[in-house]
Amino acid sequence: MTGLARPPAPESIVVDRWTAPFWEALRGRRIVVCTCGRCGTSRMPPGPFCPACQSADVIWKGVSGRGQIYSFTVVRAAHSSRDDTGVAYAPAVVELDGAAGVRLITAIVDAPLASLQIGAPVSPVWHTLTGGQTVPYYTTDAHA
Amino acid sequence: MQGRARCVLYRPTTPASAGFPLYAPPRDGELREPPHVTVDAAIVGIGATPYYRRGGSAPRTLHELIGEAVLAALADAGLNVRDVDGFAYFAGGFDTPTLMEMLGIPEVTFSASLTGAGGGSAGAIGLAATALAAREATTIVCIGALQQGRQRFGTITSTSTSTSQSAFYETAGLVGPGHMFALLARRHMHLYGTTRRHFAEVVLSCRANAVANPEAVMRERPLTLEDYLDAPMLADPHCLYDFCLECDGAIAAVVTTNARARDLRQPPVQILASAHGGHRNYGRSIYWFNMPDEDFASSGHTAVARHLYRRAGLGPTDVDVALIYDHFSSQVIMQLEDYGFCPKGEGGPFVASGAIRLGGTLPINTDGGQLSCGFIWGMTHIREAVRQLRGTAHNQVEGASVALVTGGPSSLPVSGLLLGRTA
Repeated sequence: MTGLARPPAPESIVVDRWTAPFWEALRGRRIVVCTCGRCGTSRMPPGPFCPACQSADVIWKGVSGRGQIYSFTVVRAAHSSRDDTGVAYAPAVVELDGAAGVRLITAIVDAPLASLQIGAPVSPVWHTLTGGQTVPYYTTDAHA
Repeated sequence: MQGRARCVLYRPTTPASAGFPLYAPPRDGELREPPHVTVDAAIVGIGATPYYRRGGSAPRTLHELIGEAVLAALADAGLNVRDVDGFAYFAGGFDTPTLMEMLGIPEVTFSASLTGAGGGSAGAIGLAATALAAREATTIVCIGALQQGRQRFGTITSTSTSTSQSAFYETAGLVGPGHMFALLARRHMHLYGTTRRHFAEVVLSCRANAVANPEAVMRERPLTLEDYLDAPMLADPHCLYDFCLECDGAIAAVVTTNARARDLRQPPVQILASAHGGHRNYGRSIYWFNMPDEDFASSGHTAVARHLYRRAGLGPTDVDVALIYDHFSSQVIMQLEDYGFCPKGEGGPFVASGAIRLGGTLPINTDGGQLSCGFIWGMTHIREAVRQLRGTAHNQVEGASVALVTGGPSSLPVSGLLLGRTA
């Protein structure tokens, strides 16, 4: 079986001062989670205030990058093609280990369709956008 | 409102008297009383263009479609353009001064649009009711209109302007809302055992209604379960038929005060209550995906439902016909739960019982809905609710006196509307 393809993605993404540390860390193949410096609540996406205590103190908590499939879908090419047997891709929400429920919106790649299962452990597969930004896709652990 | 037996085949695991999770019903005394009519507003006119398939309205222009709908709605009410002094919308693509200029409307004292990314037509009617209550206008036209010849909404996400927020979902290949809501649907299946056959029941119910509606886009296209199961899977678990139609068209509704409504051409349809908003933990929903687990596989409507019922002094058992925002079949099931028609997680068995069919305990989307009749940001649901309460629907629910209309599960605000037949 052909592995799941990488999804269509833009050449680059927009960054602001509050999200920049997240994207910068990815260039070094690390995932950091925006966490409140006062009460310790993590948030995603990163932003200027803690929704729990409104503090603007931020610490960037490093995590392993591993996680579990929280949900997924499988997209097969065009909207109208009835018998398309082309390669599919699988957008997914991955809950990060060690980050209190923080989730990334990503895709499962380089894995067989049959490996897609909610709760399946996954590890990052680093992908560099045309514009140079590294982003994490994920693969199921049996196929890492 | 007389209490009626519900769920003949379907048995909720939680007794209704216990109150379903997340839905706090009105206190006992309130439930037994007739509706508390605290909203001084009624829908008195409805006008619409035909429902076209995407691109099918060319070479007509969007403003031409809107003008036709507005003039038809005013004629339906027995009013004319000089009576109009307000506008309320959900979606853009047009605005008040252009409509005033085009139609010769002398002056407005109210013009507002509901924010958010869902189809908030129910909430737009609520804006009109709010303006009437504040005496900021007397006759408000609510409009939903769109043409998808140039931009189809099925892929709208991929053409939105990128921001530092959208950066967090843009690389996942989520081309449109149908892909995004599929992630909620998959989670719902995982948590509650919901199946594709449950989604199919929503789809087939709507299609059966559409086939009996001469105005529905899919009126000549009956659908079977086999057809459904054979359909191309666009965003698993959403197949082709789980997606709403892509249409062109315009619908206008005229809203005015009860006193004024009494003198007009049609029996007024009373606005019993309106609500829009939602809770932070649903937030941007399909653009966020970080909702707490109890909110992830939901429609985000629980808070709005609670306010709506409380304001009206009604509960789910009082609803005779429901027009449930059906951009995706899975979201219909989640809204049925969030509006307390069944406990959370039991939307699948609820629809499988036949409850939502014509003749069931809660007929929904009796015109065929956005899945099979037409998609105009949920304004089709306003139109159908008005017809049901006037007693003029193609698939009339006998004795319908209370209708629920919901708007737009998506990024908040979501909205809801309870409408009543004039006694």
